This record gives sequence, structure tokens and C-alpha cells, in this order.
Amino acid sequence: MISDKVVELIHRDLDGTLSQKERAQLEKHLESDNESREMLAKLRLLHKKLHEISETEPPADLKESVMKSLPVVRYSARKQELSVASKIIELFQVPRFQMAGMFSLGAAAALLFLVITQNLSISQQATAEKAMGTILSPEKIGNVEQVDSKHFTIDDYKVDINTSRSENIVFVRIDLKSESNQPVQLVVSSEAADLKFHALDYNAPNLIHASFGNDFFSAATAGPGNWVLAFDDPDKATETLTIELKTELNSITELVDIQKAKVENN
Amino acid sequence: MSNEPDVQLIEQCLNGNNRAFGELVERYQKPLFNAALKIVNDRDMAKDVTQIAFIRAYEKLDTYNQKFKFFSWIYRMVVNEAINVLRQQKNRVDLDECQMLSNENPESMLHHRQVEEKIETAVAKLPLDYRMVTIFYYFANLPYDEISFVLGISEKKVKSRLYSARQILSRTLSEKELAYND
Repeated sequence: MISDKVVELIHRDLDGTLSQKERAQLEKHLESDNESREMLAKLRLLHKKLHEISETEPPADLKESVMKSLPVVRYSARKQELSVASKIIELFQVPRFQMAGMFSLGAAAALLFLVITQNLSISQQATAEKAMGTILSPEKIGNVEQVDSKHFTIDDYKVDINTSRSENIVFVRIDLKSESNQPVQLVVSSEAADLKFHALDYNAPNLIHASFGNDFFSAATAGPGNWVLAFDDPDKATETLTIELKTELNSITELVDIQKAKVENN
Repeated sequence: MSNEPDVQLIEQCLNGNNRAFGELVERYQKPLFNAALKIVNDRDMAKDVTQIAFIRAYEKLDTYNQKFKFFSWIYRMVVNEAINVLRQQKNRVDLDECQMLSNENPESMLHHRQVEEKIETAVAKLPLDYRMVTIFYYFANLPYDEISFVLGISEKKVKSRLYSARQILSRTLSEKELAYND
């Protein structure tokens, strides 16, 4: 029986990733173990043969078929739409939103506002305010309490959705945890007309794109990320937000309660 | 074929030059078709998969992130499309019983081709997860990090699946079969 450690060394030998020390270790082991020597010899032969497999020519008309089937795409219009979204998000990207310890979301959001406004230049601040419509002030945020919390998995992703609200504003924090860089699409939406979306902050190193409208936010990323979103909800008429996550293989739709334990303004 | 880097061709394409996309198709149609063929084991389906992957890439070209290699990005579309095709076929065809490139007459083939066929058949019978890692490592010659990106799994998983695939192939194929004509 060959140990797992030796099997790994044999495979890494095939890949050419052994250090000198590991190579010496493997060679020493091989001297005294016939079974390991045979395994290595056979795997080397297999490795060589697999590399030698010849490629097949594609059909002669493949390129022509592709070129004839290309749709009409207006990249410039889409680029403009995405750049507006990215710009707004970038404005709120620095400094990072930190949820430290038991720090309440309301206090954190208020601090975020203060730090953002202190760190942005005047022109950035003006642009941010213009872009965001109404910026969130600590007074406007008021007291915030958690109203919903959901945790689920989709493919390689662990998803945590925490929702809080003040009297007029709903905050949604979405955390995607994964070791993979599988692409995933996130859409937060509402059918309610009275909700108005604000992007507060995000941290997604492999963000592919992001876009939003008055009543939705959409982002695609490849790997872990987190987002803090806020929706104005002045009429408190909306019951739920819809959060959809889609990978290439699966999709999950969750309804997040935004009315539970509604907070009254004192 | 042009020698321009992929990113320049993509830029030209985004500015409305479709011939630049034609260059990308020319450049990558062979490796993409081969990857598709080895996943779906059918020439017509592989052509469809490759064609759809190119069209998807064209549609999403403005979302392409230059941090990744273009061919890895488009390989990923081939994988996704191939999985879709396999899913649609699943009810009709038992994949494990699929015959690899079975229309050719073995007697008319050269010896080295016979060895290749045996290996390809063994690869085609691997579980899909192991098969894809094997295809991208050996036939597309991608390094671990690129395979990780293409398949959307960690490098650790790529290695572990490849090691398992090799072990299975090594058990499936006798030394005599592998050494044939060597």
C-alpha cells in the first residue's frame, strides 16, 4: 500500500513541482519500494501519452458559421451604462466599510457617511451627492434594527444576507464566501414603486460588472465579495425584497422580509 | 493570421470592427473545438458548442476582464455550453456508454492512433469533473491556475481531481496498451 504522501509526491513529480528536498525524499523512498516505482513508471508513461494526443481539425466552416451568427451588439451604450454604475460604486469604495464586532449597522452606516464625506474631495462629494440623489445622513438613517437574516449555500458559495432597517431606510448586507472563482450573478430587486436604491459599498476583487436602476441592483463576480445596499422606503409599504443568486448551474431566489419588527421613530 | 495581441483585437472589436473578432475565432477555434469535442464526444455537438461559446463571448465582450487571459475566459464559455448540451443529452444517452469518435474503422488506423483512441476512450469514460480537468491539463495545456478559473473551482480541487483522474486512467489502461508502438 502506497501512502497518500508518496502518491502526492509522485503526481507532483509528473507536474515538475517537486523541490530538491522532496525529490530526494521521493527517490529515497523509490529505492526501497517496488510498488511505488511501478506506479511512477506507469503514470509517467500515461502522462507522456496524454500529452502526445493529437488535435482534431475543426470543421472547415466553423469560423464562417460563427461570423454569420454574430448578433448586433451596441457595446458603446452598454459601456456608458456600466461606467456610471462603476463610478458611483467607486466613490463609495474608499474607505472600506468595516463591520467591527457588535457595532450596529446604523452606527456603522452613520460613521461611513462621516468618513466618506471627510475623505472625499469637495468635487467628489458633490459628484457623489449628485449621483446618489440624496446622500444618507446620520439624521436620516436614525435607529436601525435587524429585521431578517438568511444563510444558505449555492454551489461553492456560502451566502449570508442580513437585513436591517430604520424608519425610512432598508439596509441589506450580502456576503458571498467561497474559495473558488466560479462566476455568480447577484440581483436584488423589488416590485415596489416607492423603493429607491442606493449603493453604499462593496468589496468584490473579481467584480465582472455591476448595474442598477431605481428598484434593482445587479452584480456579477467571480469569487468572494460583499455588498452593503440601501433602499429608501419612505412609505413603508413594501413587504419584501427579492434576492436572486445564479451560477452557471443553479439559481436561488430568496424573499427577504423588510417589514418585520418595523421600527417606529420616537 | 494576425500577430496582434488578443486585447488589441478585443479593443478593435468593441469599436465596431468585426473582422478583429474573426481573427480571434481563427486563433482559438481549434483548441476550443478540441476541448468541446473531448467533453461532449460528438463532432456535430462540439461544433455547436464552440459556435455558441464564440457568440456568447462576442455578446459579452465588453464585460471581459483583462486580468484573465482571453482564451481562459472563452474556454469557460465552452465548458458551460458543453455542460448544457450534456444535460440536455442526459436523458437520452448514457454518457459512460458513449463511443469516442466511433465512426472510424480501427483496422485502417495507424498504431499510434489506436493507442490514442484507447486513451481517449478511457478519458471519455472518466466522471465529468475528472474528465474536464484532464482535458484542460493535457489537451489544452492550461496551468493549474487557469484551469481553476475556467472551471470555477479552487486550484486545490483541480490538483486533487487530476490526481484522481490519473489514478483511474492508470488502473483502466494496461501498461501494454499504453506502451503499444512506443
